[in-house]
Amino acid sequence: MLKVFSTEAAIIACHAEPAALGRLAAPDGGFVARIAPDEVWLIGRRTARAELVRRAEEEVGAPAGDGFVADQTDGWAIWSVGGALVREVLGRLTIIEIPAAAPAFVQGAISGAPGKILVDGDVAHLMVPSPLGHHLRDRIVAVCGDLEPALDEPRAFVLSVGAR
Amino acid sequence: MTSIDFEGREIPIEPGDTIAAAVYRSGVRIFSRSFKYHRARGVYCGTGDCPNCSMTVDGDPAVRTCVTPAVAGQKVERSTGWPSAGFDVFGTLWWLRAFLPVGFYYKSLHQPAGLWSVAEGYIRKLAGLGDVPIGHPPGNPERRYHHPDVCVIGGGIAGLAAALAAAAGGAQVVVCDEGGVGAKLPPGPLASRVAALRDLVRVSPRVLLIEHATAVGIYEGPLVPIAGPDALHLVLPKKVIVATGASERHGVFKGNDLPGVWLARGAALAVGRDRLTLGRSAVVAIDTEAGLESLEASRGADVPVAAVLVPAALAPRVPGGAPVIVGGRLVEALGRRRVRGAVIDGPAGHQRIACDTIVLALGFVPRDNLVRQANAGPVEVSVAGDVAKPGESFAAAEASGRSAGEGNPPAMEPAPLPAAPRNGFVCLCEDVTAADLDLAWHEGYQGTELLKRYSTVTMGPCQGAMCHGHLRSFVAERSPVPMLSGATTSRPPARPVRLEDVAAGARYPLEWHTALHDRHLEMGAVMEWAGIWKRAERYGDVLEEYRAVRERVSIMDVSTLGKYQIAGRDATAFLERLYPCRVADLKPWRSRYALLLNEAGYVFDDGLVGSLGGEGYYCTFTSSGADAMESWLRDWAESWGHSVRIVNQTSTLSAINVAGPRARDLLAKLTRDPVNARSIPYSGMSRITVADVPCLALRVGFVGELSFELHHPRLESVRLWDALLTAGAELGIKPHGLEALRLLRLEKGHIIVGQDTDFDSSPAKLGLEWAVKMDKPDFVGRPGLLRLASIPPNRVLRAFTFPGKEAPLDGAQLLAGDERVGFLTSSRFSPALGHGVALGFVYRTPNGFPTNVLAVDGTGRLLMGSVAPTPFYDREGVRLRA
Repeated sequence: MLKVFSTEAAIIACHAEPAALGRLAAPDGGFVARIAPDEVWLIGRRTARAELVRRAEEEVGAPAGDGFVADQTDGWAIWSVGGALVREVLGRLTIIEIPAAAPAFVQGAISGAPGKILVDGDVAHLMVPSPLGHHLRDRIVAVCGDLEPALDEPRAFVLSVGAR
Repeated sequence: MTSIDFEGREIPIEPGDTIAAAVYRSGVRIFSRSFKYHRARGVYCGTGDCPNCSMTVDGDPAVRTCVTPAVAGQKVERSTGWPSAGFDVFGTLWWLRAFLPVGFYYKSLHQPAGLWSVAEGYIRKLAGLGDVPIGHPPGNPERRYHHPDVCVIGGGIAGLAAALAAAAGGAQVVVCDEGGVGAKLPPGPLASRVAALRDLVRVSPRVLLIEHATAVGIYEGPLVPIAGPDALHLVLPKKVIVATGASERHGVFKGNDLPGVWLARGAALAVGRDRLTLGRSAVVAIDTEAGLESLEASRGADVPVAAVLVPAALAPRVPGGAPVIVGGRLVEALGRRRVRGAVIDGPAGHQRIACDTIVLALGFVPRDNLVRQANAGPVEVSVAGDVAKPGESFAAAEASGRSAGEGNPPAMEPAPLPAAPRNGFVCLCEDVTAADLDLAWHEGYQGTELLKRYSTVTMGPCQGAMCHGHLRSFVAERSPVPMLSGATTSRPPARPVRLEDVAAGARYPLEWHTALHDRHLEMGAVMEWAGIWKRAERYGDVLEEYRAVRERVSIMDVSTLGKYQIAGRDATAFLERLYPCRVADLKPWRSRYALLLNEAGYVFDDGLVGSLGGEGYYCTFTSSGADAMESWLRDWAESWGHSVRIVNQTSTLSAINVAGPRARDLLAKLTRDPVNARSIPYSGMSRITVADVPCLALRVGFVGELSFELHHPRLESVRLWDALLTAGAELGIKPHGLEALRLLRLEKGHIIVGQDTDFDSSPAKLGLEWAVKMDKPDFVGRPGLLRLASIPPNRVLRAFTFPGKEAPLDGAQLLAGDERVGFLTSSRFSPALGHGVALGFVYRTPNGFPTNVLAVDGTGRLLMGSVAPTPFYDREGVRLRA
């Protein structure tokens, strides 16, 4: 059975010099994603949003210093796919090669949309800009028609296989 | 019994039938008419290598029916011939061939002018080949991406052995085959061995077998697109093994294209696999050892063999009973609509033999299109089996595949060229004869590439599978220069592929939606594309929306604006150098209109830049520029080595513009924060909470009224929108869409970048010099502007008024006297002013820039207009500064 559901997470973008970003630890049950040399995301529970911002600002020296922290939670839609065929599904949506090790984080086009993918065991979290959330949902359902996808209730984000 | 519909006739099909087999069994012998001369053509290769059996199947043209399984209910028809392919009056073209030499259209259809455009349509219809199935329901194929270690192209014995060997070494493998694996093999030991390997492949967890799938090409990456029955598979392997096998060598002699002439493997498949009867008497021409098997196949079908033409070395191995002509050579196939006999040049001289079937076993030609494609680029591929060494035993082919799978591929041996063609059809696809090549050679097209371009030999659907070797031998016989007789360039697609497959997965345009998209639809909005976004163009009566802004209060979803926060140590220096306006002197919580110039000094975007005090800067850009702006900003930051933090908040923040003389009254109902003119003056910014939604409020003036742009978290947008509409009900609130916006801003004379600008619009051309501070030491575009300052502009954007109750359409041409002097970029009737207002470019004339123009817009109206100052409306700006 292939489960498709939206995931509610906090996405906190931290912009700073690479060395400063290296100090950032993954939130509890969350993930640190390297977006660029001068940008990482803290992906954690939606309920911990404010706390993640505060912690990140302490670490990267924002707002007083040179770093900058932005709560980008609203800017990204997350649709997740769960089940044994998750890599088959990814092969229908993206040209990006997904590393075998988990958790794996990659960036690139997802069904034509600029996106990011976090693979956590047999769950893949696919992230696209919020204005394209409807597109991602529709495409997942369309390309997985033969895999009998079941649209499930939204879930809170929690990483199952460990941090970073 | 199941059947297919062949040109209105029910034809029974048997299990395992191809379409060609079923049609042939029903008695049809003419499968198509040729491209140029409408010659009768029948099944020839039987392996999908030639064009002869191409038909239209279920609306799809050019389907190779000899390799396409017959499925009950299929609608099959021949694509060429009038009134039918069986009896085609245009077959007479063959007798007019003296008037239709190679390249005749280059020589005869270029004068008078326009002749070609007329002739082309007739030639296209005559050529047949079917019609593009416009209106055909789309099959809607999707894309599949694969990242195996190895991609094996070809599911024959070598390909399967390579796949299994690679998998045994731990590799993940994708292997594809054009037909079903083994489908092109007649019953026998080879078919049995291939079936055994196929079974192993199917159970291997490391191998993905894609059948009925055509490798379209090999691209850099490497990338191998494979058009399958269900999807376009895009395979990105680390290594490619080409095991596409070999096609049988085409025989070129007079009458070689007649129905009844078969290549030996096709004949063997027809007899052994499809249980067809080829004829009553056959002549078999054998040049290779493998050809002896074909003779056996023909004999097995009880086709009496009238003669076997064989070289002396093979003569002793010809089974007894058949008349053998040692050293005999086929000179001509006799007949008009099908084979009636053969002319043999043998030891006894020319000899006519009555027969209705000619079987050619002349050797093998590697199917090396994909290898040549790859070699033409930077992609290295391995080869295995017949494509490396055509005609080897199947045990050797299996060993070769195994070696390739283990990483030790065999070297590719150059295939020997056939004898140079003397007579007959060299290229079956394009109807190019040996005489055509000879004429082209004497006209100066001396080389394979030149002959290819001039005569189109090798350029048909089979992509040279039949004729490439003959073309090369033709040139080699005439020129000692090896380069002239070299292989021609091979380009994708290597095999015919449907346009629909090429476009797989591309039918889903990205449609960016604001958080309020559904609300707009619920309110009956007409949506329109605006760059990458879908936006509300109107909700109903545009004039009512306009009046709400001018007289009461209105809201508009402006979430599509590009929204960036710029922070970091060098933020001020960065923006000062980026924008042509001043940034460093911006007071905290104040904003300024800013142009964006490219390096040449031309305007490509505009927006606001505002100071957030200690939080850096907040910059907005146009909706259409939002997407590309991030990389532009980052490029400059990196080029200058500035330490800045560029945060794209376009998707994170929504924005609603609250505009109109009652805008402040509306906000006051929903916020406890001060929104008076002192707290948030025109061009001021402030953080306020509206309807419990945290907002960054920007006082802006695009529509020319008191306006507050409320930038807020996207997830709060619906709540804020609803609250504004509810609270504004007693103020007569009404949302407005893009069309009302276009009118409102035009009354203020504000430009829309992209609509009122062009690729070479400098600030001076647009009358926006005031937005550029040339006394700044440097900014993007400054060197370009210095250069432009010495060149008087050839055209400028001007504002026009048109008296009366009408305004020209956007794009109207402007005349001064008889001369065209410009065009309008935006034009509307202004309800507030009672006349037309417009912006448009005018060109410099000897008398300067015209000030009085006549607008012509294609509706038949001629409207006089004259240059006027802007803003048209509220010239002092009292309303927007309220």
